Formats: sequence, C-alpha cells, structure tokens
Amino acid sequence: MIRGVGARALAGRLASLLLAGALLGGCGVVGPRQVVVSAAASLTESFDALEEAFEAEHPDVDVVLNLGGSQVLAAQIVAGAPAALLASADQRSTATVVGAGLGLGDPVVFARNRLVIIVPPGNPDGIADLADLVDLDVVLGAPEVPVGAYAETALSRAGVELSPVSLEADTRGVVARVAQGDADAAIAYATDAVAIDGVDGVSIDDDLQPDITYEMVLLHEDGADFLEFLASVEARQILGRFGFTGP
Amino acid sequence: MAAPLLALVVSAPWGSLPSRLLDGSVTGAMVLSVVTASVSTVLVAVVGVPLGWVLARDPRWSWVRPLALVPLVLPPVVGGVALQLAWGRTGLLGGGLEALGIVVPFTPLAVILAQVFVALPFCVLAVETGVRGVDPRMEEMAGVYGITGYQLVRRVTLPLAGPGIRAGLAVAWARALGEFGATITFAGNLPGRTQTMPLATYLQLQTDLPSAVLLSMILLAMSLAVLVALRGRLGVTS
Repeated sequence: MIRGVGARALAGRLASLLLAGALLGGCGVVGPRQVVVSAAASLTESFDALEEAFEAEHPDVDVVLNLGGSQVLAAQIVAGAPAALLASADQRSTATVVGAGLGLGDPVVFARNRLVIIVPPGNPDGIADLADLVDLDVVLGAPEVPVGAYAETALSRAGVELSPVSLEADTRGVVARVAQGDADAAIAYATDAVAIDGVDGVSIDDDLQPDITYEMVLLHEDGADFLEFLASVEARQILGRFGFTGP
Repeated sequence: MAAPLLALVVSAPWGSLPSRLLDGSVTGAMVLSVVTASVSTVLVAVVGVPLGWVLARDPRWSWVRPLALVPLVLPPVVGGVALQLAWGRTGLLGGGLEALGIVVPFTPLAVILAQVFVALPFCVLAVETGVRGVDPRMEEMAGVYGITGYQLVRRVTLPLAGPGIRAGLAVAWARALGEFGATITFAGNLPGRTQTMPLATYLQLQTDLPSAVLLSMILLAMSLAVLVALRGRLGVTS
C-alpha cells in the first residue's frame, strides 16, 4: 500500500532511526554506570522522581527503571534478569527472590500504601464508604492481582458484597475505567488517585485497610547506594508527595 | 516456530487435566469464547460478504477498502481504545445509547463488537479475492440463460467464490476467538460475562501457571482444528 516516493522517504527515516539508535547505544558504553532497578508498576511516577533526585547526587550512576507487576519482576529476576535492586509492592515477590538465594541481605520495608474508593471528580454519587458502592457500576482488580486481592479483604472486613462490572488485570486499568467514565467507582491504591488525572479518592477506614507493604531487596552491590537513598528522609518526602506512607 | 508450541504441549498439566477442565472458570470462558466468536462470525459474514463483493465488482466503492482493512494492521489495543471512545458510556455513540438504556461496555455485546472489528477484514479480503477469481465468462454464460442481478450473485458468483469465502470466515472465527487486546481494553474482564479464553489465560498466568497452560492448549487445539478444516483451501484464495 506504500508506494513510490512515500516508501523511499519512509525507508530513509527508518535508516536514520537505526543509525541514531546505534550511535546512542555506542554512547552508553562510555557514559555513567547503569544500575537496573526493577520496581512495581504502582511506583512508576514516584520512582521517576526518586531517580531524578538520586542521579542529581550521583552523576556517575544512571538508574534504569524496569517497571512491571511485582510477581512478574520477581519471575524475571529468578530467570536471570540483571537487576541490582527489586522494589516490590508486596512481600511475596521479595520472598520469591530471597527464596531463590538471590538476595544480598534481608528485604526492607520502605513504604506503605492504602486503598481508596476511586470516584469521578467531585464525587457525583456522594460516595462516603464501601457500603455506598452496592448499587453502582464498580470496577475492581481481578482476585489474581494484588489490588484485587486487597479490595476483597477490605470488602469482606466491611461486610459488603458487590457485583463488579469488570475485574481488571492491574490497578491502573481499574482507575482508567472511572477516569474514562465507563464505571461509577472503583477500589484502588491511594497513590493512583494522586497519580491519575480525572479521578478523586474517597478514603476507607483504617480498620478495613489491608496491610499493603512495599519491600526492597538488594540483588547486586551496584544497587547499594540507591537502597540507602530509598531509606533517606529525602526519599520518604518524595514518596509521601505521591501518596505513600512511611514504613 | 515449533519450539514454543512444543513447550506448551510438554508443560501442559496432563495429570490434572480432567479436574481442571471441569472447573467452572475454564468451561465458562470456553463457552463465552465459542459463543461470542460464532455470533461475531455471523455478523462478519452479514457485513463482510456484501462488502467484499462490492469491492471486487464496483471500483466506485474502492475508497471503503482502506477503512475496512485498517483493523488488520492496527494494534488491537488501539482498536479497543477507539471502540471505547465510540461505544463507551460517555462515547460518541455510547452516550446516546445510554439515554436509551443500552449499555455496551462490560457486556458480551462489547466482546462481540471488539471481535467483529478485528475479524471483519479477513472476511472482506477473502470474499473480494474469491469474487475476483470467478471467471467472468461463467457469469456471461449465466446471463445468456437469463440469470441476472441478485440471482446471478446468489446462484453463480457466490457459489464459485465459495471456498474462498468459507476460508475467510474460518480465519475470521479463529481471529475472533483469539482476540485479546481490544477486548481487555474495551469490554473489561468479568468471568462468565466478558472474560474470554485469552483474557482468562492472561489472568491465570499471574497465579496459576498450569491453568494458563491448559487454556493455551485448548486455544491451540481450536486453532489447529480451523487449519485442518481449511486444508487446501487457504491456497485457493491467493
């Protein structure tokens, strides 16, 4: 379908892209030392900010973030992925890595998260607690993924039974349904309500909150400085700005 | 090419196969997948056969071809986003539907819309190719016997293009059965309602690898069945 001049122009652009890629790759060899940090998807925005702050203090280090579901990251590491540090959204994934004999030292708790009710801006349905969700179109995480399992815990503690319209594969998918206007409410992390535009968070009582603990474990000495930085007051403040609470 | 498929068969949980097959979540996803893919294929045929015929026979309609074929090259997740913007509760068309009390997102209807979107081009291409392959002299001869217009299409052209059309529909069915990206983006994921086999496979992967492998095996078997049914016919269309 692409013919004549168009095809030649496209081929030219592809060639220059390839060339640029090769040149950039070459630069990497002489640039700062790369430290791969595998971090849970829910840490995306906060770790971008942490990376920037850390690199300002350590110009010789280039932190490379590998973001994904915690269990997936753990599986990658067990399969031999070269990460210096794992920052997980649960304790199961760090335990997996330590169990495989890949941890340098014990896992350390560096942050905690909370569940909130995600609602459209201004909370049009006037939702105050979990019981208010009963007759609405609610989206939850699938029970197979952490955010869904946590929501199940909170709902059973509250004695509330919902019939959700969808069970999403990750927390950002859950929030997106409300942001896009296809669902009335959802249950996701407090940090998602901060990170995603177009939604508000309604807090859930302390006695219903599951224990959502973020742990890190060192896998290679290269990651030691970043591990130390994550425990610093500065890092705590950055994490707090994104809705995380202290360990 | 064969190594991943072989790995799938080798790692399949053969020992616990019967109990896993009887598990409600696997059969629920299977039934939903087969029913939605079949309904989608009927809709694809209803739209795709006339469209393919028109594209083959009437150059005035050729501007429709890129529109009909774009889902073929579009990443399915983009199709899902587009479907959502059109049929979502606040979407271009969905907003009006909601006023009528019809909600598309998170229903089997959304699954079917996603499947039709991605599968239609396969049917259109096959029908167009099939109809182009019909010898015009056959149609002229039919004309001599007084068979014209709709009768000509129904009794001469379509039967002659039949093998190509059937192959196109079989591939459309397989594509609908395997649809993942547009479905999870647009239709959501609820067991028994919108969780088709590919979605169930993806979610089982997080906690229960053997079940994910079993679901993959079933999908592989179904895809192979389509290939077997098409033996020798795929070549006819080219």
